[in-house]
Amino acid sequence: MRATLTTCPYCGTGCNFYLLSDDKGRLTGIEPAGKHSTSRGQLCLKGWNAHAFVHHPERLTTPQIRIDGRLQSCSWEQALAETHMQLKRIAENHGPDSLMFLSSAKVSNEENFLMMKLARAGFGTNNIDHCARLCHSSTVTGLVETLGSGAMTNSLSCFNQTDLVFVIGSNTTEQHPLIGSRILQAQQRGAGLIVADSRKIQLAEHANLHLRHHNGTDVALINGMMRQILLDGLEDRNFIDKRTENFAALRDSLEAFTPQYVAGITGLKEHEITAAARLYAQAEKVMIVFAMGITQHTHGVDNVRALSNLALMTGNLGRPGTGINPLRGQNNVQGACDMGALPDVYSGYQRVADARTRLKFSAAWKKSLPEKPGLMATHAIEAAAAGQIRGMLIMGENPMLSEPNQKHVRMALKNLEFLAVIDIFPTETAQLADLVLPAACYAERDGTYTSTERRIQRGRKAVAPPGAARADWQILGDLLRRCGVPADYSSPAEIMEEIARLTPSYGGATYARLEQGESLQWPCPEPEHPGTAILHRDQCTRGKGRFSPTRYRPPQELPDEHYPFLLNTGRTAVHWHTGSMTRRSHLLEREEPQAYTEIHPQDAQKLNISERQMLRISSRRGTIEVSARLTERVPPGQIFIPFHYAEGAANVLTNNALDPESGIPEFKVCAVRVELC
Amino acid sequence: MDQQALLPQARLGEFVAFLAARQKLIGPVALGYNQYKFAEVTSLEELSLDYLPTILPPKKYFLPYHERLLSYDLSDGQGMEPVVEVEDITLFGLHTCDLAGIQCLNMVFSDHPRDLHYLTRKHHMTLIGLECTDYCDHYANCAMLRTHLPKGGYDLFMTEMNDHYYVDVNTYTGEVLVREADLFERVTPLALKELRSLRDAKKKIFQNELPIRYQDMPKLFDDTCDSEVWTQVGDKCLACGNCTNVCPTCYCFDMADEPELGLTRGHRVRIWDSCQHETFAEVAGGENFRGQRSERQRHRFNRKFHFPLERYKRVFCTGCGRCSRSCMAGIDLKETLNALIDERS
Repeated sequence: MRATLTTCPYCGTGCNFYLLSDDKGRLTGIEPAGKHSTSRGQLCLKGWNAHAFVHHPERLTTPQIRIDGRLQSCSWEQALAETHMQLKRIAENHGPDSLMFLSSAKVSNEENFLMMKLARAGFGTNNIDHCARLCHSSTVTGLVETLGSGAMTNSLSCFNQTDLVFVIGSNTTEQHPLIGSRILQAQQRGAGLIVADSRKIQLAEHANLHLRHHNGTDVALINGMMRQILLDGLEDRNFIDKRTENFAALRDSLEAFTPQYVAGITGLKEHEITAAARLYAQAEKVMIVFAMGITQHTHGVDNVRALSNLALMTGNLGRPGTGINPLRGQNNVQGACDMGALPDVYSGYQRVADARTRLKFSAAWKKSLPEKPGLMATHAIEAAAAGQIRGMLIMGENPMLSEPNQKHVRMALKNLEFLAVIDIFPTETAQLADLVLPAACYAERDGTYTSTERRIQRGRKAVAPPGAARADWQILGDLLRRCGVPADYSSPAEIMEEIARLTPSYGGATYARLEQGESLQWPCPEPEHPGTAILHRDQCTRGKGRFSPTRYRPPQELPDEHYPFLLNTGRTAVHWHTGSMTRRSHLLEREEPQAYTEIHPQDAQKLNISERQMLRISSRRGTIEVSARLTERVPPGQIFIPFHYAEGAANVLTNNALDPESGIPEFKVCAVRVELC
Repeated sequence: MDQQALLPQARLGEFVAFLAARQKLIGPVALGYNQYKFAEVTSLEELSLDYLPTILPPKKYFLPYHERLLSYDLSDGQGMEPVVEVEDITLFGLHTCDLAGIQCLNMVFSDHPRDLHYLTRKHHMTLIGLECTDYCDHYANCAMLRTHLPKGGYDLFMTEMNDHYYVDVNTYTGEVLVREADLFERVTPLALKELRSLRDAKKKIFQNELPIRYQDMPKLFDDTCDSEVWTQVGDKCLACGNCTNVCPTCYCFDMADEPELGLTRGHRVRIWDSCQHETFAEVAGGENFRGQRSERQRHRFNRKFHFPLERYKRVFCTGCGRCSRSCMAGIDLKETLNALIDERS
């Protein structure tokens, strides 16, 4: 039995575990790791089963090319030459900006770096993005404006020191179980807990206060709390004076948000709003924790701004046990953003519009680089539908299930002249591709991943990839060389050297340090730098923290007489996103094998629905069939459908209305009709 | 051959090297942050003999997490071949709680129908115990279950004394090891006296951690079946299965066929399962005997303290404290039992 220490491939918590393998090179199980700062001997259900999909017989093992409408096996040489040739042809005929590159929050930092190098240096376009667009693009946009950095400000160990945790729009015990457990432990040692969530999630059972405000009314709630804090004189004057700017504008913007007005919008009682404000402001150290419930709205950036205002107003920043803590979803979504798999920045959030930065990368890569920021993933789907994007390379993403309005996505992808997909399973997206390249999964390649607390950690190869599958960095390196860009890497460690040279915040990250057992939280600018546990300590990354006033805007589509229910979407505790891994893991699939909707018993009674009955759910964009689950977790008038299931895909229904600034879709609110099948 | 022997402490390194040269040697190693695991070692330096119970108990060697049981080939009839993957292993430095855990597993898998995979593997194990002279930490409840003392189930059992290890030789394999290592000395009267005083000292240190005898536990569970305590425990539980995965006596598994893509060939595997999972007790039609987390936690406690006492005349809790240590929600076994006892009185 061999034990290989690595990082979990699921959520952004970044737990470590040992992959156990036998002499025949087969994975035989998982053993929790002891030393990791968060996981210490514990794992969640997904973590315990993280080995289970690796040897699944449906793994892609050979490159496949579409001939006469069917995907057929081909050689690597043919597949790579064809990919390069097709993308090059489209770039030459229609301009480089007719290509789109979708990187992945599931692959390593090194691989994301190469993908953005391929888009920019290889094909001359900034059209690169990844699924952060669908999860925390609002966070990055909002927090960069107010603080100067879009990442989680504090560390997970801060839960040991905080006096109050304010969880808004995060079902933490199910989506980040180890972090959820730290919140439960904080509550058990006496820290306060406020949960703001329309669903009665598990943390709500333990909260001092559970605010069940209507989905999409967060700005009103938070502004109402802030108005009350000012009215009570509970703000941190000293912090506001010394460390922030634009306070007057914020104060003026809050006047309208009286408890009565806010109660009218949110459906809360007036005293709940004042109680939340006082609980929050009276605690010495408060950690704000948020996730998709805040970001996935057409006003997602405003939601983030409002939370940032709340933290700044009460001085909850730059100290242990405080901060604004977006919980990143994928295991390397933080890293994919850090590596510049985004349309407007290179690695380390260095802007492509900045001439000096461009010159630096241009000199390193010996290619002239495009200046105009590229397209966001969500806009690229629209552009593909309109025929402006003609070629796409997608690595480790499944937009067919993850993007809103599936019918529209299918039409857009089918409209492409050329679609190449690099993945480990024949996903719904890969099935539309002209060319499929089989990749190694997390257990079969080396690399680094950056967790939600900005912690750079090693992933290690435990077993060989199946068949002819190759690591993504090898595939991308080959494509780069075909484009005439220097990319002679013998290992991911060499790619990290290039990242460190070009990326100030990763300047001190080396494999040698990581191998010695260090795990580095960026910024880590120099080889001797110990890393940074807490951001914005003496001043914010941008200098002064900026108050950014927000006004309340309702969601784009609300229930009406034709579509009377509000549809909320999300995940379950046992499945991961589009299910390509967890639905192929025996024990996890057994837990939740079927698409379902949560519906309140009162609504069920009105419509004569019983438990497990099949329902037809329709929105303006499509119809799906799912089974009914009667539960008081959802409030009356709301249904909740997890988006994992291809056979009952919630994203057939969801609205592809986007936040104007971050381009994030409104996954958390749309209007649907519920009928018996 | 005497049934006891002495190993000079200075020669422990040689003994470890002897064992490692003989066959694969497994022992406790430190992972940092007071966490340990059983792993392959070749020398004394790699071992951490003063250790807290490891994250996973030794059951991982007896009942692998993911085990192939048979391979099948349907291309010509119903061809099936058993797969038994075993290797000779010496487990070194096992605490008495973990030896008790292995004894529990032995009883279960020897029971009808006998589990030949388990039993075959068990016969390839050499077990060397190591006595605890003090509690590992406050999570343990071994005195309640009398598992702080050696009760067999080992080949050799070592007790650290001033200059020597006192070694109890329990099996023929143990005798062979002592003879072939050629490092052991005869037991002296002085050593026997030292052992007696050590055990006397242990009596004062290890006292029942709970105000109840284990024999009275079934009655306690009968009396508190509808207790509010279970609801509170259920409200906290995250249904992650950490408690059952790390338990030295939890052995529930699920079976699955892993067919190859052509569907004619494949393997049958068994995988660790957990009664804490939502669907563990779900049956056809979607009914669930234990749909609530509170019911599943209550079931887990009953499966340790109640049901096995009736079936095997033995408590299946070894007092190791792993379930409390590893619980993400802070559910503590001793706290829960105390709450039940308080409520009843």
